[in-house]
Amino acid sequence: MKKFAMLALSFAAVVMAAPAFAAGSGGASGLPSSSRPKVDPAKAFGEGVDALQAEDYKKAEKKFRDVLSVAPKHPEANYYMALAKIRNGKPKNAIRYLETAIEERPDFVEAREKLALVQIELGAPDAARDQLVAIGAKKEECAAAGDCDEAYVARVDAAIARVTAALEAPAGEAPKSEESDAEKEPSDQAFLLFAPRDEGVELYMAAVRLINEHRFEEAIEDLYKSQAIIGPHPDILNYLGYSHRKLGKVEKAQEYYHAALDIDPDHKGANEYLGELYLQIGEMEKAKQRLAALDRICVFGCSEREDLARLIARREGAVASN
Amino acid sequence: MGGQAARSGLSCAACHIDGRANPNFYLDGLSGAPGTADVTTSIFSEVREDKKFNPIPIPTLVGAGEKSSFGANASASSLHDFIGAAIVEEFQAEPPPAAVLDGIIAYVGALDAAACPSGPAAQTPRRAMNDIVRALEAAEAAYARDDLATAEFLLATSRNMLGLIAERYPYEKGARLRSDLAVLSRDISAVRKKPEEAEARLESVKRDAIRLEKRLHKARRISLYDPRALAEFLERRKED
Repeated sequence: MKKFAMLALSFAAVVMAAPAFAAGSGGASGLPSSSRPKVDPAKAFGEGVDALQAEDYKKAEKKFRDVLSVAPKHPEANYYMALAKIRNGKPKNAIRYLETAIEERPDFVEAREKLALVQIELGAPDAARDQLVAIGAKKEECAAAGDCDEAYVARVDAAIARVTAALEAPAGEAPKSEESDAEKEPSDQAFLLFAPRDEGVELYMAAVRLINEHRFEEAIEDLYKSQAIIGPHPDILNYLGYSHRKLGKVEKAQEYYHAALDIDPDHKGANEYLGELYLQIGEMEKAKQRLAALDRICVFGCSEREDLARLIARREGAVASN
Repeated sequence: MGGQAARSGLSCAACHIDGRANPNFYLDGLSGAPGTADVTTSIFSEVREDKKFNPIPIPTLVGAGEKSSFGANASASSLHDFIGAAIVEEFQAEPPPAAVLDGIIAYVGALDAAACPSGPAAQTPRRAMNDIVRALEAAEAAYARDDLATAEFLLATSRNMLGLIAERYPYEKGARLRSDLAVLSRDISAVRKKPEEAEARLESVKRDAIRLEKRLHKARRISLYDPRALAEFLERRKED
């Protein structure tokens, strides 16, 4: 596939015919938004990953704290925060971040492995065994569904082997949680942790294409991978919402739209698609609130506003004619 | 345009400056060499993906009215079909009002190498505001013949064009102008809400636009309409 080398996820940044500054994902007006949080979570995420790699764990903690202040459930940010805590000699403090990562992404094998290793280190082997069982169950689940990805199976097998070895090691000789870090062997993981940022953008673009081809499940996979590299980004979260909505997973979609708006309340796409979701579930007033938000955001008009307005008008027309 | 293209700020003019080509157009994943584009990709289109990366040179539209076939990888037998399909299929837009599509086709069909200057005319705030006033006049005419769809389309277009002007005054010194452009945009939007008062409101909006055009022209040196300011701005962005 052709490599994308975008500075941001917005196409506008690279279109030479539009020399004025890129509008970004928020206001096409180019006017500054006062409602946007001060933290740029994707930027902080990248800095946190860099700090982890540079073994500056205090800085890594600070950066991931920033990320989690606006995207508290982001699985990879929680995972990285846990790594920073562990490396800072605070394995106990890592547990809640690993639990959040797992709660959000039950098949996050590396998070389960890390949690198990921390639990062994803290003298709770039974809890570690629970994680081992859960990792094995994930493998069985995908085998039963017939959609096991080879790389995923390899990750699962490696995790099982490491946790089993730690459990079987004589007391006092079990490897500490930071000694078998997955991130030390990224090439063995076939996973996206610490992958170059460009790959995240490329995955995002691939997901956009898949969405246009109505291949939403595959798009979601690429979006997950993309956000594992890029961090919490409203464009990615918005399309995660869109893809889930198109698959009928309305509640999950709603969560993603809200997560996008938590990062950027002026995100035009998330406001539009959340409005569409409200229309889909019959919440006309809430849909109109999203339209009002777009009216405020789009000082010079925007297609997101026009499209939502058209759908609302059609729905109202349909209701009136009934 | 609709879909991802519209959301990315693209328009027909991104590829066809003043109806010609754009040798500087480059979008990674869509372009091969600068000035080319893959028109059969699902980046923008739900229906045109051909599973090939096959960018083609963006053609000039000058002389298109004389042709008997249109397009290379997604061809059509008439200019009407070709442009209509490009809008709806390639760029996922709602079909435009009939008068708008007819207008685009008339414009493209009238591009004549003998009558047109050899290259694109310089971008200036005067030219941009003049285009807006003309769009408002066309909206007025559409209201007069009760063609609300066309009138509203033209009002939305005018507002979008105001936004493009505002983007070219990015510095603090341009804050007042940006703010006044925003006010004008809101006033245009208000016309749409009361079509029965459209004529009077549009007259007032046009007067405001002409006044603002003079101020924009006066401040053009601090804007990205100024080639030197634009070059500096782009250089700074590259450094960032």
